[in-house]
Amino acid sequence: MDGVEVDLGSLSCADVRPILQGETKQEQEERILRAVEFLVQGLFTLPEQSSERKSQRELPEPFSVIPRAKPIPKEKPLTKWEQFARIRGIRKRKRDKFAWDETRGEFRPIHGYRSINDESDQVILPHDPSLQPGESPFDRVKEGKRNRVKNNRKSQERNKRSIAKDQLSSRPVRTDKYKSKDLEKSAKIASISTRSLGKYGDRNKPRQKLSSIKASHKKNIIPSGAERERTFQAVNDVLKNF
Amino acid sequence: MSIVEQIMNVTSPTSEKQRPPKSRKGKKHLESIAPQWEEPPKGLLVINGHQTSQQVKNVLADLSRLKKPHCRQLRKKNNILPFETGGEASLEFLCKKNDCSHFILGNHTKKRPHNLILGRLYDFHLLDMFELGVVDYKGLDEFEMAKQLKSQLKPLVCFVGDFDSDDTTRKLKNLFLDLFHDFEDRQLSLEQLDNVFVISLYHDRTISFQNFMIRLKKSDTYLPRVALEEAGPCIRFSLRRSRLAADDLWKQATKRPKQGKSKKNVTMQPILGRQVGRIHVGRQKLDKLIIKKQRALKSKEFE
Repeated sequence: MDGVEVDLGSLSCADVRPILQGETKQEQEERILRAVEFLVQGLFTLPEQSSERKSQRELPEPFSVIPRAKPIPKEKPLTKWEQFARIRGIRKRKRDKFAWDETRGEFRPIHGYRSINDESDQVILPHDPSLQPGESPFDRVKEGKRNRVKNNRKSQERNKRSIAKDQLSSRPVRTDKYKSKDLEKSAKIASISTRSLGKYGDRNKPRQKLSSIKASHKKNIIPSGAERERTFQAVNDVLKNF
Repeated sequence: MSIVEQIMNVTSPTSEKQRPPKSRKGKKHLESIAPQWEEPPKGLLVINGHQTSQQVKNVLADLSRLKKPHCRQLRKKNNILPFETGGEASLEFLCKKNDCSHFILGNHTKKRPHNLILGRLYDFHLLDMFELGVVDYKGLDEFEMAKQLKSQLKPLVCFVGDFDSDDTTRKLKNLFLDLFHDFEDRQLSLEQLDNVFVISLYHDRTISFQNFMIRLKKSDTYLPRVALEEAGPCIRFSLRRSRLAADDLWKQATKRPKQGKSKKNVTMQPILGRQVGRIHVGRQKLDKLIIKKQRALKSKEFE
């Protein structure tokens, strides 16, 4: 229709022709009616969603550009476990928080304080043959818990640090400071690496520590003059045949 | 503060130091006001200026009734003059406190009688605002139909007049659409069609705001005929001062999030963590295959 623009996505229509000075109220109302009718009929012609709900329509994407209220959220960097889970295809399952405790006859949390299998709450523990004489099994349980908490805190810190490192690396960094050190390290790794990543190597050989390896790349470096000579020699050999 | 926290603060979108929450309730609150991919409808903050006329008060009350439930009305006077230098600071503060991105401020002075300032914010920084003077006003209560207005329905918005000829009016049109449209849900039930807001621009740059109820009537075809009944309020504005958004801020605000389309036929290899794609090569044309021709297979022509 001439002069009427309709945007079904934002449920709006516009009669873009200017309102002239001599236009009566009735003429204006007719224009409004025409534009609104056009929009409503457009909405009725949208495809039906399902036969059950005949009046339901899905709106198309709007043409009108409306500014956002808040900036687009940034994606959170993955933690080490999340990265691993993605590679392995491990999905997060929702588990119940509470379970029925038959001995106590009530619902109790599965993990944490006052939980069903609270280790510190046990009166009798199964015999552990690895216990030293005189060592308390209850103390060992407590210590195990303490260690797990400590390790968890450690991995949290590590995740935080790696996120910070990622964000730092996007900034310009003076690379010349780190270059030689990194080269040294990769040369060390390369000197003990095999092509099959150790798959067909000697499995009984103990794993070497990086600090114990001495860099051997220095003796392989050829002075630039010699390399130039060698290249010319090769080129001459090839060209001789032509 | 550790280096990690420092970096987190610098890169956070609101770029203001946010104390980490101490309680679970506080954490929930911060999550509820955090930026989202798909945004909920923007709230409207209705503010009374240092001095208001009864007419302005009525207009504000009517508009907040139309905007329900995404509206918050402040009851006390607020001496805010957003067009003065530095005047927008307290406005931004109030909007952030109430988590509203639209505001309407009413005041009444000798120089600018029955004054309304309508505007919006991006990331709680002023984006654009327009000053409108109320020339003529007929309230919601004066219309019989107004009693039938329901809230929480999807209103239509209709513009009449040449809004697009001028940058100011174009942005004003955008603001009115922003104020009254509902992008939240892409589903529409046709029974929800209830009313339409009509905004018209006249030749003398005055603007009228009307509200009509939609009545659908049977016709010969499956498409209905539409009848409109005025339901108020009917307000006539004159356009006064305006402040438009800077280009870069506007560009930033209208950025749309990239939507990750679900990739077809792409899977993750479980152990190696590689992406593997399955592609369709199409049917091979074996009869047109160029192969080495063998003499023995050639059909001999007999003489």
